[in-house]
Amino acid sequence: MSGEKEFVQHLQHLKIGSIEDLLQQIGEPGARIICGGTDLLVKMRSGAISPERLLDISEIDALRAIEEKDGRIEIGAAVTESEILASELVTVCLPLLRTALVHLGSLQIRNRGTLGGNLVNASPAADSAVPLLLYNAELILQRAGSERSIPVEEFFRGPGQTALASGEFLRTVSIPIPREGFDPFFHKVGRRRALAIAIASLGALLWVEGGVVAEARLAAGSVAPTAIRLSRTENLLTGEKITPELIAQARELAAQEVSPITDIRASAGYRREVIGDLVERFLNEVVG
Amino acid sequence: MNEAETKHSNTKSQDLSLNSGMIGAAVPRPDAIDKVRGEARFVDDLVFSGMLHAAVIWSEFPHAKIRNIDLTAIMDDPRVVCTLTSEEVPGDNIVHVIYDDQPALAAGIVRYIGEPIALVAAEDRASARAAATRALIDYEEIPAVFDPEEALRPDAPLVAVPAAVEKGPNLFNSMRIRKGDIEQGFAAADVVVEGEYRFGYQEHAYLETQGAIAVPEEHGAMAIYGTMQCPFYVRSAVAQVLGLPLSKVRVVQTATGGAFGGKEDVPSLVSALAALLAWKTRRPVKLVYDREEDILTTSKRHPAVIRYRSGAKRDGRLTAIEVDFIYNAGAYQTLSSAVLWRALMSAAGPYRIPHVKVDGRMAATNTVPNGAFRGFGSPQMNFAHESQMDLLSDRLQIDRLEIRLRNALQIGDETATCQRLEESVGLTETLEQAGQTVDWENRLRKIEAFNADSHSRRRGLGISTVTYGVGLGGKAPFLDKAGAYMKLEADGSITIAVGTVEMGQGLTTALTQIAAEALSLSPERIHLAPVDSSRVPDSGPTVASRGTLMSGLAIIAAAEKLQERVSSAARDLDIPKEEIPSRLPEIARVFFMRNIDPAVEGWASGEPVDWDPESGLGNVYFVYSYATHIAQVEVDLVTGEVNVEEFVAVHDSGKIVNRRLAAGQVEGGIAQGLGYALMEEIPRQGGRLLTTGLTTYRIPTICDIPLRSEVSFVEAICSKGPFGAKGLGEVPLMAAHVAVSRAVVHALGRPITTYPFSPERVKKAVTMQKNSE
Repeated sequence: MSGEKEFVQHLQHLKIGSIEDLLQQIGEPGARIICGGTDLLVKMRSGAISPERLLDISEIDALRAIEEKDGRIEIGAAVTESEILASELVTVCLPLLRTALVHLGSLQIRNRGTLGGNLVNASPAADSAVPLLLYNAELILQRAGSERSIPVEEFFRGPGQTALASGEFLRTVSIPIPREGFDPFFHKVGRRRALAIAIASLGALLWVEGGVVAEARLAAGSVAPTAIRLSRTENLLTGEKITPELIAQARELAAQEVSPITDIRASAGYRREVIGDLVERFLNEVVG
Repeated sequence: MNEAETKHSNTKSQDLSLNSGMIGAAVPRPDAIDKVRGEARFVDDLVFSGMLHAAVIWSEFPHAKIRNIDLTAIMDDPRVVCTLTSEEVPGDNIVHVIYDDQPALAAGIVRYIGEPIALVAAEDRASARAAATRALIDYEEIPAVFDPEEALRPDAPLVAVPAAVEKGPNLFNSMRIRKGDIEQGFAAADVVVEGEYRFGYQEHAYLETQGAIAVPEEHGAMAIYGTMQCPFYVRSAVAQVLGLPLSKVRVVQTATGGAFGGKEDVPSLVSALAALLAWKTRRPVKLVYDREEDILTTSKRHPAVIRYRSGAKRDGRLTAIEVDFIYNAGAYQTLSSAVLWRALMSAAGPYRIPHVKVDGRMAATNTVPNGAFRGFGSPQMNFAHESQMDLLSDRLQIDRLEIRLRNALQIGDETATCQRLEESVGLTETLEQAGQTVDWENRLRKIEAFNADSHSRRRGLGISTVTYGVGLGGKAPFLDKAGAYMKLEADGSITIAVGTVEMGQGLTTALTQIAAEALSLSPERIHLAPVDSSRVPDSGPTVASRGTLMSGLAIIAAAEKLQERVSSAARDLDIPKEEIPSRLPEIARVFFMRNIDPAVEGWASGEPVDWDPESGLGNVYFVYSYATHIAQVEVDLVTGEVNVEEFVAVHDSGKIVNRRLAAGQVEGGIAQGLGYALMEEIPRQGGRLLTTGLTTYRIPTICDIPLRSEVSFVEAICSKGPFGAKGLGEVPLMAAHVAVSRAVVHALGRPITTYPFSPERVKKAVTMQKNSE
């Protein structure tokens, strides 16, 4: 109420036409990439950041495609959440990404917000993070003269913190299409169904072969400084037959594995408990 | 049965012979198209030549002496025109609501975070807001108190100015009811149940934030354009701070994007602040709050704690209740004493109780002043009295619907204030109809079967029954009045002006229908002018579900006068009575040619009511509305999330003027009630509210609204209302939130007594239930 400044007065907004143009401008002081603005503009309005120049990459064609390549789905950073939801490739190959994004914000937000923006914003509650963690997504980061690929798990460094170096941008999210035969799970806990920032979320992919868990992937949001994989719980499950005892152990371990905080949305204790209980629910569903 | 008789006798008592079918029709609202197209002009859409923009410098401390105000840096920007502090207020530095305790601008001391200290006017809004951040206020913090129960302890720091504290330290007001003999009542009881219920804030979250434009007019007059419920409150407030006679202040209500009580008292302050700058600069000044300012600095529903004991016979009949409650008023009185009174009147619920003892207190704290919000102190009470009924039902093993039916007020019964109900009591029918609509007993069995089959989800069915005294009641009968101005134009169209406002609730449409019915004209011929305080006498506030009732009666009174003149002219022209509506243009022409006065005024004054503060008894409202709501929820036991699956709402608001709009009011109340019960919460840390926007203050969206809902009306005709109508506006919220929360309790089989029923609170109850099993 008192700190609000008019933030548009001395601001340049540049539409960037190509990756080459972007690479020329990205290092300039005071410049910041905007790709939808559903998080950035909120931070600018509150005064948390005050860039002088916005590099708008939302119309760079090279960042706007969803393609299948060599058993992977590649999604450009500037693809909007609504476009992902409308994509048949995603619906067929990456159903959990779809499930998670259906709950993101509202229609208006999904029409503007982009996958790249959601990831770079690096909120522990980012709705796309949990499914991408489950799918072992790789992020392709580019800077002048070089590019690199890192697992999404290594991309998040803390709330609002990413592995992006100066002069580097997120170009593509590359996701291996998982082999068939898995049980999927996703639950986002919120106080309402739309426009809710997750209090906690849990996603899972589980392959059961011959009565034992062949592979387990569990990921949780809003219960640690970043969205995380629950690797200790995954290890516990892998190679085991799902029994009531195992379920109880997994529930306990998952609750231990997260490191939530208390904020105005919920307490740490609730978040911890709910993750454990969701793991239990998922495993019970798998067993039927 | 009584009801049929009432309907019959009322038909005789009011002349419905001109019934043109207008009353009850689903006439579309004339303002809908404008609003959907974005053409309605809200206060922030209006621009006046030479207009300045205002920003407010707000207190950053909950309780502090102001040692110095340094505004020199504010003037650094050439676009800033002036600043203004309390020393320059030309009239009284007071925003009068009920008492004279609240200053327009803090003078020497601040009592809550967000209290206005000084003002800035600039050529544009951004400059004004940026300038306000450059103010240097030197505060000396003094001890503060935030919790209402702590505030009433003898060693608590004193919040309030002594003049406003009527009953004791930090005690803004206390009121009571004493009916019968409470000891005898509990002695006669076979069972006694007790509960303690706690509530936090509810924010109005209207779409349009607070705002006003003050425009200096000729001869030292001041006009105010703004979003508001009570133009005549605003007029008094502006006249008082400027030291002007009432006749020199004109208030125009602009299209208002929701209010829910939040625009009852607050616009008086907002308009006074804009008016002070307009007075100083002699230029129009616009002051519009942003969402953060609106949430942090304006009134909300009172946080409350209610302790409740109920006694009943083995057959479920109530013998006695004893209720003790404290509401958190915040730092100034504003409307809190009136809220306290209505809370007191709502304490017993819609039940027949021979022995009643109620004590209510309104505590002052160093928090934002709370005020009016749909239900006005009742909703907290509604949850308490309905929770008690469920406790009794459980203890006595009497079905929840049945125990309510056994205690429901009927014609001839006495209320908790010893008022004998003489007509228009549709309560029992609302219960029966709601029960039939959900097929109550079968539904309960189905839910039981579902729950037996499911271990991580559980369903529950909640029922709530409420009553609401229509109008302002026996504490402030002088406010219950309304005027209407009506004129026959030369082309046979009708212009009407009233003093109560359209704020989204559909008043314009309902009043047009009442006028159309009274004049036997089609509604297209009738136009309601924008509300302007210079057109009609002080018509009281648009609150207490009284708009349709009081302005409707004033319109009927005006219409009768006009009809007389029209009939006389028609006789001269040999026009038969039945042809008058179609030949009105001809008659209007005669009015014009022969200089017949085409204008009439109508006046409505509230029916007599009374209240004795000593005993708390009296004929406190002239009529009551009733409702029963039933909600079905599904609770996720793993996460504590609640899904409201189905809703049934049955209302008795007398004759329904417009079915579509009435159903809309009810549906809106269901949504708002669902939010209050499950989602809406403002955590407070000391004197600071932690929720500053709609990202963290969650109101329901369309996705949370039950997929199945059925709204219906039983119409227990009120002989004193326009065409038999009573009030509706507030009742839906009062009933809805309780149906939802009680459904959750039913699902869990374990009480939750603190609002809201957040996932965390629900999950905690689930865990406790598991541990106890």
